[in-house]
Amino acid sequence: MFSVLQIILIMLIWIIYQILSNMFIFCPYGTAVLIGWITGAVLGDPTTGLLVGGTMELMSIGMNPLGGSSVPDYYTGCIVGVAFAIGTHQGMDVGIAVGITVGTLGVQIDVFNKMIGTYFAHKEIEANEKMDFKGVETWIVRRFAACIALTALPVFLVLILGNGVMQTIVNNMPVWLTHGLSLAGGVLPAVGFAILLRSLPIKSNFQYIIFGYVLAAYLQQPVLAVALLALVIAIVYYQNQIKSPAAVTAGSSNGGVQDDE
Amino acid sequence: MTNKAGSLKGTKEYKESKIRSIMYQSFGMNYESMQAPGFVWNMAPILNKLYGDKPEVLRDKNREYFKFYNTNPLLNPMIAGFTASVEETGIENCTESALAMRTGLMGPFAGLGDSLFFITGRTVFGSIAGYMAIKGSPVGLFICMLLWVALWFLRCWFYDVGYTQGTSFITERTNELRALTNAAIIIGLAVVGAMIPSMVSFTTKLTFQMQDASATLDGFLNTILPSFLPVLITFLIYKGLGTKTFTTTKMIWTVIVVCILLSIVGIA
Repeated sequence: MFSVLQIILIMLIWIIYQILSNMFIFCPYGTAVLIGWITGAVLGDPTTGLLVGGTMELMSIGMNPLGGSSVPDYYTGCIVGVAFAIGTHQGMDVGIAVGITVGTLGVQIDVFNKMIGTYFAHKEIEANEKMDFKGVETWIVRRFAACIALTALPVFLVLILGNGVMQTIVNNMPVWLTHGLSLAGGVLPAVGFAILLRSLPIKSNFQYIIFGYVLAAYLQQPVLAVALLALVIAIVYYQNQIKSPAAVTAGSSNGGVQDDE
Repeated sequence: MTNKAGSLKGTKEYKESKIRSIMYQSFGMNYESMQAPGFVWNMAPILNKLYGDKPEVLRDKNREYFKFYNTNPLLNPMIAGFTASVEETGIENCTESALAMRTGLMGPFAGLGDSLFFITGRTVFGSIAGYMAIKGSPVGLFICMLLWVALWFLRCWFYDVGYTQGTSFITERTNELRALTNAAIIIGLAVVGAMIPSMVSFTTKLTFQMQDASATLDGFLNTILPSFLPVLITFLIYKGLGTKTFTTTKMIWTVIVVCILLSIVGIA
């Protein structure tokens, strides 16, 4: 299904991506699209890569690891999904289904990563007590390398082991299952949006949801147009608030806090 | 220590620490002290320069900075810059005051940074990138990439501001920042409102007899409200996530299982 060269290239992309995003040179906007697109290009089908990457991006936008929590890893899901969509010639539905499954199981990668972090933290503190400051930095950099290796490993295993197994599974998948998973691919972005709405103060700002909905559903406007129109409202709002700072708190609660009903 | 305050700026160590303040998070992440080891790595160039000749002092300082630390990674540069300026004074208990400031600010900074950079930022820019990608265009991704570059420079600036002006720069502007966050939330909500009908898709195969013609249930529902089922589904998931029963992961599995069941029964 994948040639050795392809596996090497995918792993290379994945490791570079992990390094850059863990160093926060890539910020978590559009990264799933980037992985999808590049992986697709390497495998000869950038369009499918964009489609799967875009779907994964939408599913992941609500998944913020706030306060050190762990969330489904849709980036791992994305690269695996694109690889299988193109590798098995089954199209984006299968790719998204595989990606969702891998991504949802992938929450464990982050939990495990933070667990091994404790081991390294103890090594660093030990070195510090011995006043071996070079050692402190070395252990910290090793901890980073371990983080990269740990996030890279599952993708590598899936690509190697999955090569034969996945082809067999995908070939023998009953229609009701592929159809069901592709249905889920259409519905799952709703989970992302619902989580976002849970983390935004919607009670006092419900009108803006209607604003966006009407523009998209009735007037068929693309999302960028909606964002730009909302930007106009936001600028007006900001200017008014700055003029009368006392009224700011009345507008809404502070963003990060959950707004229950 | 007889360092003149402000003399670190522009040195090799200062620049190194600035770049590390952007990258620090994954260098430390663990369940015990969260980002603290990353912060030690972040401050290492500066502390080594200032206290490299006094290993006991340096050890004690590191020991303090190894204590629990967790904030929004995009606002860390300001705390790091401020810590650098405090450590530079060389006053006996300066680490104590830097640590008190770090601990006092990490909560508010996490709340502010998470809601501005993560929640609303991802809602707007992640949505646009994902939406345009599904339409076959990488333009949304390019917008995000420009934003990455802008955020790099913003964080470099945060470090300088933290170093030269202290963290009062942020704490004195709480009202402006809250207004900015609320303004960003407006854009975020409008985008989510637009995304639900355009990006959530669900259609049923159900039809029903109306007078002599048969009509699809979807067609009928969509005359009431465009994208009726996607809106309803999003609403139900939203309500579901508000109950104690559903965690995010459980909700995702529930959606997958229900979709497969609907596929078996043949109504969708």
